[in-house]
Amino acid sequence: MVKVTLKSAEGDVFEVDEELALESLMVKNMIEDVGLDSAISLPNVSSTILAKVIEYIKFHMDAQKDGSKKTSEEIKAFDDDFVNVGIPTLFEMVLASNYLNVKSLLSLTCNTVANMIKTKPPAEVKEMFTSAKQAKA
Amino acid sequence: MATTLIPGLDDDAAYQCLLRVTLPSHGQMRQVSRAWRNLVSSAKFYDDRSAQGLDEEWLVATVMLRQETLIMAFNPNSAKKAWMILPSPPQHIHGIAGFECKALGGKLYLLGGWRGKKLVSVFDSHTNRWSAAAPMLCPRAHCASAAMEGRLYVVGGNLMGKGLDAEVYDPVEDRWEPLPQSPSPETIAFHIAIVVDRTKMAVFSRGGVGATLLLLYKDVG
Repeated sequence: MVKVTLKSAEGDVFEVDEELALESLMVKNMIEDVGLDSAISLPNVSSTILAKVIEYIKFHMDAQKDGSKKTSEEIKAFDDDFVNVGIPTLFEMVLASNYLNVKSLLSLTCNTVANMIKTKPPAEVKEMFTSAKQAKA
Repeated sequence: MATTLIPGLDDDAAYQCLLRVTLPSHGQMRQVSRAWRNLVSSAKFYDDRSAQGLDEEWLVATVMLRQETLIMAFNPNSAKKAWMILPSPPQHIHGIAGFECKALGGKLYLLGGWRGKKLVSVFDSHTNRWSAAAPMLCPRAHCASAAMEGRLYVVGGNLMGKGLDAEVYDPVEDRWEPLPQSPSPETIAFHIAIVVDRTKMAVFSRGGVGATLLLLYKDVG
């Protein structure tokens, strides 16, 4: 199995299977452009978030494999748990999945934000996002 | 809040989130910020939703309740299993009977009726408002209609009792054009039109035992 080396914003190195790395269309394009010889630098993604993105892709790749015993309930439970985080972390995952162009994760994280907007009155939406900004600053 | 869509996200990522907010919440989105209001009022927002397969399918029903016409909508894919009432249609224009209601391209068209005659009203689900569209070429009540290939076809119910039997509406041009005269000698009303194979409109008689195929419009226009 060919390995790909990803380097986070902090300079931490993650070695992953090429198959997994290709789930990020951004990484896929980089590999096509520059090849596999050097590490792929991801200056916009922190180590914590990159580890989470890898965990997400790995879980879903395993779940899709033949002989996987994961039920759709288990997959949904994993997804629900995955985005059950504070707004700052959720936003970092939205940004990372958009930057890395991982369609399924972008969909999951954006839908989570959209659901927050749908289920709250406008004043609370405003409040929620303002306090998220302050927490981050 | 005026400069960025969502503080803490770049606009591109925030846009991806906002595209996924479903239609019933767009009214609330208008109240959050000017940037959001501009967004949900723009045609591009809905084009991008369609392009990403994020647009929603709604079931619409016209209901008459205590001499008032209500238009209700239901999203079968929504977790909240509830009908919502759309803004009231212009009842002073279409009255309460004989009008036809048809959906085409994110809009609802209310056509004619005993009071409305030639007049056409259109409800835009993006702006949540009713406005006037170009009137039909002849006055109609209890006509049949079909949405086909991005255009709206109406047949029958001609209140003049003669002349044009069917016509077609182009929403881009906001214009009606006549269709070839049907072989049926009399004007017809109270019929049902359905689209077959996406390009044919079949017009059936209503009532009695089973339905009788009366007319078949093929590749018209």
